[in-house]
Amino acid sequence: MENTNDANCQLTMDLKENYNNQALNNERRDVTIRIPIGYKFILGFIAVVAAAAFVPGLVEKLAIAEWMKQPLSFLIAILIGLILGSFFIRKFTRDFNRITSVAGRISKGDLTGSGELESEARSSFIKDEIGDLAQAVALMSASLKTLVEQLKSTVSDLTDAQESFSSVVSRGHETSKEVISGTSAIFDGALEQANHVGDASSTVKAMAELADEVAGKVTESANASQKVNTMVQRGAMAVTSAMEKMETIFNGIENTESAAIRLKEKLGDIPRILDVITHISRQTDLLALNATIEASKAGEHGRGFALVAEEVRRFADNTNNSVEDVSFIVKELRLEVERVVASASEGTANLKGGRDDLRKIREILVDITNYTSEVAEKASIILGLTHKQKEKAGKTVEIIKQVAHIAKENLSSTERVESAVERHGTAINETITAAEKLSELSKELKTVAARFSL
Amino acid sequence: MQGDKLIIGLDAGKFAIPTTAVAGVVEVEQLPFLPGRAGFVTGIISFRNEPVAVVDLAMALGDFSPAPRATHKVIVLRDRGRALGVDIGEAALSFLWDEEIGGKATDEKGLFTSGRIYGEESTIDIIDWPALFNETSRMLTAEENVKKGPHS
Repeated sequence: MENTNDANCQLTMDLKENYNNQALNNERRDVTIRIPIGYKFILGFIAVVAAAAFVPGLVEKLAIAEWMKQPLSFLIAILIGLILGSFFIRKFTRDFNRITSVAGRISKGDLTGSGELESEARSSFIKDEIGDLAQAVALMSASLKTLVEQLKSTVSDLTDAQESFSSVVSRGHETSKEVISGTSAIFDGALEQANHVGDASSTVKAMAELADEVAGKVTESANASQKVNTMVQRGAMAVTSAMEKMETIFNGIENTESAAIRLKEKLGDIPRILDVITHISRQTDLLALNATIEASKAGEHGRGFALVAEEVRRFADNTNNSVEDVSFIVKELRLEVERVVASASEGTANLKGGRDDLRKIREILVDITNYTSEVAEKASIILGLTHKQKEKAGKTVEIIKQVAHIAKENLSSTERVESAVERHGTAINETITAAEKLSELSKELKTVAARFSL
Repeated sequence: MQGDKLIIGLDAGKFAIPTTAVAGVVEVEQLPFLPGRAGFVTGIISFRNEPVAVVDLAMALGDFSPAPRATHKVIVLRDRGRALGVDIGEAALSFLWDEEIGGKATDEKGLFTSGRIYGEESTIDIIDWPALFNETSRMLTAEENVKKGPHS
């Protein structure tokens, strides 16, 4: 386009130059004589009339027969008229033929004859419409020449421009294809983005609902932690009270163990006493035995004493048997007491362990109380954070909705862009077709311009 | 064969000693060692500040495997100034009165037995306590002679 504009400007300048040249020629023409063709015919007619008028007088002066004078005058006048007519006709014919020849050559594209026509027109002292026609044809030829030169230059530039344009259009076509491909990819990406945004929106909604549910659970957990904390504190108090009571029970069991140990020691004294009793009963038995023997020696007089001694001996035997029974009972009692002592010792040991366990339990309950307090406190913090998370999730849902809306708009815009790109591709194709036509026209114009010979 | 009897209940059976020969019954936990003891002579005790040699009745009657005893009942026999302790271990002692014996006694003799009483439930051998005295004296004398022999 820029080259075309430059060519038009150049053509305009050349035409102005021709116009200036014509003006200059007009100035030169002022120094010549201009006789229109009509005037020339009138002058010829006047010349013929003058010849017809003056020839008889001249013929009268000739020494010829009288009857010949009039025909001769007539003949001379006709001859003069023919000569003048022939002169004018030849002059006109020659100029018209030359102009016709130049016009024919111009019509054939030969613009080389305009210079001769111009020079002859300039060299002619008397000018008329034919000269003007020749000069106009020369001027037209020069203008046409200039125009053709400009046309050739323009065709050349046009060819270059068309080639560049074709190249640009081809690159544009390729670029358009790439743009179409990229636009399709963008459309697919926008569609996928819209789908992902939809999925993200659903996921964030689910997260928001989950955050809501978590907030509810955390609230329940916080309340449960408070209840647990209260119950644990009550449990710790109950355990402390139970420990105090258990301490009393421990003291009682320890006292029982001490009493059982003392009872065991006392029972240890009983066999010694029984040994003494056994010894006494055995000695009594022996004494009664010896008394019986001595009574036996006394004969009939000792029978009563023997009976008494026998009773004493039987009593000693009964005592001995009773001592054995008591010893057996004491042994069993001692075993039972030992079992009681062992049980009490074991119970005391277990109770010591239980006391330690209770102490540990109380410490653990204190720790649990502290921990549950911390848990309740942290649950409250978590509850606050969960509420904030819920709010953030709600805002995120709104943002995601906006993003989804933007994604939809982007998708619509992408669709429009894609359709525009498709239209652009169609336009590019049409442009390619136009460029091809332009190329053909350029070639034709080049061919046409080549027909002119400068 | 007449007179009241002191009945000794051993594992080998019941034996009887006339109460007239019995000076007394003592009980000791262990018998002091008697140097030069032999046969069924098992020790010596002090009875009423008098040393008395003790023989084991079960061993004298042929049982040389008596069970160990926690206490020893020793029946001290006295015969014309002589005393002999008869260790009956922990055997039970009872009396059989002369009226109860009646005509149940016989003269069946055995080793250190001089008769037998046939009771309603069992038989009771009567210990020939003089023979026991004599045998103990013989053993103690023989032992003493053995000790004195080479030098005397």
